[in-house]
Amino acid sequence: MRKNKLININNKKTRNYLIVFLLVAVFLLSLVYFTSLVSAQEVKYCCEKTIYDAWCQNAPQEQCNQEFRSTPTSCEATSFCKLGCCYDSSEGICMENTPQKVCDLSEGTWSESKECDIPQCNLGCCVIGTQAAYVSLTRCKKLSSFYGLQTDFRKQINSEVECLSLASLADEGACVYEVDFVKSCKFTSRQGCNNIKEGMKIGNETEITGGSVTGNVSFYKDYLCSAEELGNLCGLTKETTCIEGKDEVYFKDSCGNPANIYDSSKINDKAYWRKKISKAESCGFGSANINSGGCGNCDYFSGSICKNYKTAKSSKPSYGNNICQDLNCKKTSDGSKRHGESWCSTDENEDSVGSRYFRHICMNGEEILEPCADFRQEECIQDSINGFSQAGCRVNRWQDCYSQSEKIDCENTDKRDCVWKYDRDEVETRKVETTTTISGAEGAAGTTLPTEVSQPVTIACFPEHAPGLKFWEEGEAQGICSLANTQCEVEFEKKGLIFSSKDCKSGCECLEDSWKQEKLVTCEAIGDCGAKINFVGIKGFKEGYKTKTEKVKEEESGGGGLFGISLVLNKLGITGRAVEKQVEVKNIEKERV
Amino acid sequence: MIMREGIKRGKIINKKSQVTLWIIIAIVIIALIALIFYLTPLKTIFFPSIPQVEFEGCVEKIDEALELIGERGGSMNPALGYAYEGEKIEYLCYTNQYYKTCTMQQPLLKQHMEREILDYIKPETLSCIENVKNDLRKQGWQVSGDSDLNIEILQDNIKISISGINLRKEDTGESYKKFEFYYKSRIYDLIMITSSILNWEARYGDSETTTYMAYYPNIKVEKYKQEDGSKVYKLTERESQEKFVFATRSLSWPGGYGFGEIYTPRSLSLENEKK
Repeated sequence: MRKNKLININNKKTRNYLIVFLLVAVFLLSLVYFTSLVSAQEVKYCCEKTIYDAWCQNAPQEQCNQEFRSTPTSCEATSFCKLGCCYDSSEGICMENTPQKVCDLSEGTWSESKECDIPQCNLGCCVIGTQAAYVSLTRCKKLSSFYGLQTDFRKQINSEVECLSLASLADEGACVYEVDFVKSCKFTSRQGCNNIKEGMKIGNETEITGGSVTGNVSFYKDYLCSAEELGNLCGLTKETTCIEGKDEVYFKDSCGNPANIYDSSKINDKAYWRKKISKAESCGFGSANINSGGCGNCDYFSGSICKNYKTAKSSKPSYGNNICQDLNCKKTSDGSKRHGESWCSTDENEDSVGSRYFRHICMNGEEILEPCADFRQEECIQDSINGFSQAGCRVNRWQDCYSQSEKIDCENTDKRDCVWKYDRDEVETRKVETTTTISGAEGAAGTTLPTEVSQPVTIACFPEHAPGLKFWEEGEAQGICSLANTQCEVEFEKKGLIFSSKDCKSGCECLEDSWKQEKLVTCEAIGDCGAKINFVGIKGFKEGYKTKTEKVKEEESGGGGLFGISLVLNKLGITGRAVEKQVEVKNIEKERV
Repeated sequence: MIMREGIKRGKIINKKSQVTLWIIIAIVIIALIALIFYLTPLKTIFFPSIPQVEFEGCVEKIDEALELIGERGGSMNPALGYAYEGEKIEYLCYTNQYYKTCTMQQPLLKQHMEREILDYIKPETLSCIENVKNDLRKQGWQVSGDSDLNIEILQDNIKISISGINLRKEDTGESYKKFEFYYKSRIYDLIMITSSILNWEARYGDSETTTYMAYYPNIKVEKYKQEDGSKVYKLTERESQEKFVFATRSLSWPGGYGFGEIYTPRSLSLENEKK
């Protein structure tokens, strides 16, 4: 059935017409591309600064700020706009893709490596107390200084995961000391305790309790300050606390030190207040313990974090004021979602004019909407593992769909996002003369060479998600939409002289409305072409296409006999046009929203 | 019996007049205190100024400066900016081309912001400092030196230093040479995350917001891709609700193929159309 509706390319005349027509379309399209390409190449300068205050841009000469340098070459080939690494020696930060001039003006140290592959930017593991960061040495020194700790940089560790796991292995325990002959304690790292020994500051706090350390300072690994045998001032309380950088609710001793993870059943259990107990051995491990009144073993990745019960809008826990806050999203545009989940959506009318894809994220109990690139140049892809969905915006690789002549190439998802819409696995091709520009080294002007490429005689491979086009601008959109132009020849047989009648002989399917509808669907599949509706469901002010019927040739004439037969060839054509005026509708709707 | 009642009544009357008298005295005292506050010289006699407190009042503009700079991408008056929700937001990494990654425009963002904040608060703050110095002179302080201001963005706060002042009070022996104020702010964290996002934009053309939110639960990162390929990033510190908004334009895709197209910022193309 579908075969009958397509143009009969076995008919020699039809085929010739079609080939000529497609070649003209391809030629016009190429002309539009290359004219714009060549004209753009002609005017490209490297502006040290543009008139709109952007540093080091390749732009037409009239956009270069005359007070700064400009050369008729790519910025990569200039000395003043060469990209490199800008190193901030005070913060230990390396900024990539920075022009030398910009770095010099900012008083940074510039080096030629664009991706900052220089010794100063080499990463290592910075251990800061019981935490770790995978940063450069200078950055490590800076971070350590914030916490008043000595720099512990381990350059032999070369992965972030390894570095973070190292942090959990760091020694932590009770640091017992005497201040003005009174025994006190601080729960800290071994390094932190050494700092107390040296009379140094701890973090942002002033000197220990305002007095001076008068006795021995001893570190008891894994012990809590509330351990009886340590014999200090710190005792048990019914208070809890949240610690920055940690997820769980912790018991707090009378000196303000954190103890073990809050567990209401262990409030008076002296053994629980004696030594550090791991998260895995604490109450409710493996669960988020959301809004639990008795267990504070929260887990950020499972959807909970320590918060004051009032902020968390929860009921008061059995002891203290902190609880595991629920971070899941109860109400989103797509029902309830778990903390960290992401999912896709698009406008109601998929791939309509002005529509785009969106990624939704549930984070900290909030739904965050992240639009993918406009003009459907990005699509949203989604998958789920054990019911936990993850989504992301990915480039829509539609650009070379139209030039595919084989199904296997068209549907190669490693290379492109296209769909094959043809009744055979291959489509006939023609060799077309074209030109290819080979870019020179470091952005220098390229060479244009004549080449021969194979072009399908009809479009059989379409973008899976039709791209948006700037149809309100002259040029490219018209060129792309013209790929949908099609024509069909219908052959009639004229019978009789006085009471003549016309009988359709071939190509009759083109006379049916379904043929036109199919061609319009094809037209719309190319991009923002044809009679498309916009993202709020409104049609354009114009039809979006043209149909034309014309008599091509009278091949044979009966010449008047009663039984004379004449053959008439009619050409039926559809011209796809870029959607017009719809942008106005879209804008009105946007304002209305 | 009648006599006793009369005496009682007399006592009540006396008590009433006493209360009235005390009320009048209280009103007079309050009025006198109010008068003291109106008459500055007297105020300074009874309540001598504490220089630290007086100078602290001069640096309050930092609040306004931080809010403005946070909304505008780190510059008070962004030169290269994207118009978004009524504000011009600075492009910190930018390319005018399609299919290309961006070029860094503000590599040392922290230092740049320190300079911007300083330039913004300096005129008003120095003028206020001069007024405070004059007040202190009236109270018997020996004041000399030209004051200078410095700003440093630190991890949990912003350090504002007033230097170049010599304050000395002979009778008490008090003397000051420098004042330092710490304004609580989480802008440092937001700047460091911004720097990381910018490196991702410069190298790969985009960044993954959920990674930052997973590592830093207290930071919310939002990304809004615009029609012209620009991206507006909104970073929010959840506790303090401090915000830092900035724009980038990297690895943009035009509508269609966009061959040879060179993007011109919207503000500039509008100007050209007007011409």
